[in-house]
Amino acid sequence: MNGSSQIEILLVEDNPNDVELTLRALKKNNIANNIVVVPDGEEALEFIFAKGKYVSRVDEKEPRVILLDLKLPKVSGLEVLEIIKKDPVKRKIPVVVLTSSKEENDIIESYRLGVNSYIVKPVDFEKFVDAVRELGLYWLLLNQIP
Amino acid sequence: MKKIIDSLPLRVSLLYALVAGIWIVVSDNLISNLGVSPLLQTYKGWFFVFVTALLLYFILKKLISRLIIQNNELKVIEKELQEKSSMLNYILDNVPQSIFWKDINSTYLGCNEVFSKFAGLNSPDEIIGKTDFDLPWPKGEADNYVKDDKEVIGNNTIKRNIEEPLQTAEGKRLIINTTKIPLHDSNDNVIGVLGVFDDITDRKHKEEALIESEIRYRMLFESNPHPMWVYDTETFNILAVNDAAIDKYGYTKEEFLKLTIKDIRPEDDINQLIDFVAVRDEKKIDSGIWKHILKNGKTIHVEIYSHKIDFENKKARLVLANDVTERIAAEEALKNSELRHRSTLENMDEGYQIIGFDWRYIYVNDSVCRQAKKSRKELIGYTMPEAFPGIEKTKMFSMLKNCMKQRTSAIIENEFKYYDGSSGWFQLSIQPVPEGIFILSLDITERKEAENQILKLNAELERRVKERTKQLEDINKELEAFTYSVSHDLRSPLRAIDGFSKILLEDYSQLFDEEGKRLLSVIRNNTSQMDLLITDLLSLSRVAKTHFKMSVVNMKEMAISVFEEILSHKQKDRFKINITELPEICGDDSLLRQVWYNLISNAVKYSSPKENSEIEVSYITQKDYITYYIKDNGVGFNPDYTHKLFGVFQRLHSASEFEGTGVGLAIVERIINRHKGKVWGEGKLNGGAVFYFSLPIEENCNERQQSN
Repeated sequence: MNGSSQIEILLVEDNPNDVELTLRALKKNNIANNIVVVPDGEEALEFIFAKGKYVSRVDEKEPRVILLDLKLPKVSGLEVLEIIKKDPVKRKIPVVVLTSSKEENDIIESYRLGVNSYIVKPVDFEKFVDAVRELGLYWLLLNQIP
Repeated sequence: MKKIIDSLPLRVSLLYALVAGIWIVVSDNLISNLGVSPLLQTYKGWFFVFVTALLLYFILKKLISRLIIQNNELKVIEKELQEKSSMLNYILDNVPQSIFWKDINSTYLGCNEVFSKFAGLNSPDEIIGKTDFDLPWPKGEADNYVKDDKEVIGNNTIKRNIEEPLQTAEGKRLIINTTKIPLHDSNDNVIGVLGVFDDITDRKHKEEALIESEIRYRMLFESNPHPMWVYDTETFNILAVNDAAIDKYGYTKEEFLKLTIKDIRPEDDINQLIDFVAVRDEKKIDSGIWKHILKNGKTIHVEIYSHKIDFENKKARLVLANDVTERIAAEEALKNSELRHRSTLENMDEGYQIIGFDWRYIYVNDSVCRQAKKSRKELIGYTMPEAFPGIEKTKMFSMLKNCMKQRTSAIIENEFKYYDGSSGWFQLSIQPVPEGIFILSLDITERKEAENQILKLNAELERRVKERTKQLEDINKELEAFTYSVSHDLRSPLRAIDGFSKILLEDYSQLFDEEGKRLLSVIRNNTSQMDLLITDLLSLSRVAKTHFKMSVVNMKEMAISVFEEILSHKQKDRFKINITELPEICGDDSLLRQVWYNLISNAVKYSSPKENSEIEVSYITQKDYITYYIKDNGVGFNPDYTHKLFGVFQRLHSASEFEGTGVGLAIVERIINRHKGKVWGEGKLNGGAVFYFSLPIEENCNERQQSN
């Protein structure tokens, strides 16, 4: 999936089932081709800040949008969000929280930390596909990044 | 004597002539009758001679002896006269009175020694021939003297006790008391005047002084501000009384003088009074305090002083009464209050002690002895360090020292260690007093022990609370982690099941017959039911977790907007909805909305199968509560199961009849409970249902901010 062209979506998700369903939903809607999946928060940060095994990414462009699960091994999604949004350069990357949780606290905390969008993954696959299409359309096609 | 001398010769001659005559007449006849011889004639002559001679003899003898006796008597008289005359002169010269005598022309004939000295003469003889105007008296006074002389001589009467002035030759002014007596000759003719006077200057002065002092004393009695009276010590009668007594006792003077002193005494004191008067006879008695009774019956206390006097020839006492009623009352009150204070001090629970500047115990009450475990004898007169060796090294003592020197007060709590090793806690209030310092000590041992006990219990309680809180926090954390897991981890597999079932249907649909496709959709229905359950469970747990934000909630608006949310336009036509006025209430806006949501959605859900569904929303006002209710004419429920209405996962209808998780009413109940309200339901099978919830009316809604 790695290519020289710009990474369109960084998907941070530990559950392989969810990864598969998300990717299927994206593909089904023909939204993105360049998608990178990382299984935990630590790796997500290494990717974003070009560290560890992603050192070589130093000069590459930022992903156009980050789809971030909250419940992640090692570094949690909220921590990842906080670090990104505190970084003067990386903060402009749109971050969409894509999670099973509808916990009020999580929603409040995410927006406090500067999340761009908070989307609850519906259990119903058809609704899930709809949700992914909408977010893809918005963040990849309509939204303009400075 | 002269008479005798004058008549005797005559009498003798007459007697002789009588005898001789008689003889001549009778002698011849006598002789012839007797026949006597002529011889007898001769003898007759001789006899006559003899008788006359004898007669002469006796007469002469008697006369001569009488003369001799008379002569002797004369001598004695002459001697007596001489003696009397010298005695008179002696008396004249030695009597203290002045004596003088004058002739009818007030020319001095003589005077005595005393007089001559007043007149400035060297001897009494020099007075003879002088008049008052020759003597050193002032002219006017001399005129008065002569006037008196004339009166006495003229009236021939004695003039006694003439009080008049006299100026001596030395110029001394005297007052004299003169008596002037007329002098008579043997024929009772007035021939002059005899004067006798006394120098009464001193007496006069004394008399005047006496009168003056009597007036003064009378005034002292009459005008004395203290009641005074005089009473007869034998009859007890009141003999005199002053104005102050009249004022004080209320009797008039006349009434007083009819009373005895027994009448102004209480009945019980009379015997004592009688005994007292009988026994005490001193000149002056300070007889102390007695009770007297006024005319109006009031009893007063008087201090009595009395003097023994003679009053109108009666044995009496002069009494002065000083009203000391108020003083006695004041003293009594003072004594009572002192007694009361003392007994209060003695008996009070607090220790009360006064320590002198030399650290000696001046006063301690019983409580101090009890607290110090020492007798009074062991404390009074001893210094603190003597009574409690080592006390001078204690913090408390330095505190006392400070108060003693700086004259400041202090309150301290001090633990006192006894010799026997035990100890007690005391609260000491220290005050500077004129004698030194005053310490009020309160035994607070029990309180201190109780405090310690409380402190220990509190510490224990706090430890337990901490422990319990920690446990609760742990449980809470676990619960939170659990719900967090539920919301994430239970959903993911559901999504996977649903998602992959869908993928199966999409990618491999040609491999499934109709039954296979139905089974896959059953799987997907269950995943969605499971998702609903999870959602409801999470919202139930959120009721407990959410922070309460109390505010005034407009219930009518809220109910209307919830209806709008729940009912689609199409559905609306099927329902007849009646929402009356609903009062505002104090509560959490979002939670109450949840209540309305659940109740209204239930009403809608269970009315749906019927035509002409009616839903009524209204309220009932009670004293402290407002009860809202929602009434439908839907399927209702079996009232036997009313108690199960609000249980979690409890359903009174099967899933095939009505969708649902059995959590909605449980949420309602929890929310209402958190508002300190009540919720209950009434229903009949196919007879509709009514759900009531009552909420307390809060006066100050914004103040009731609550958190879980």
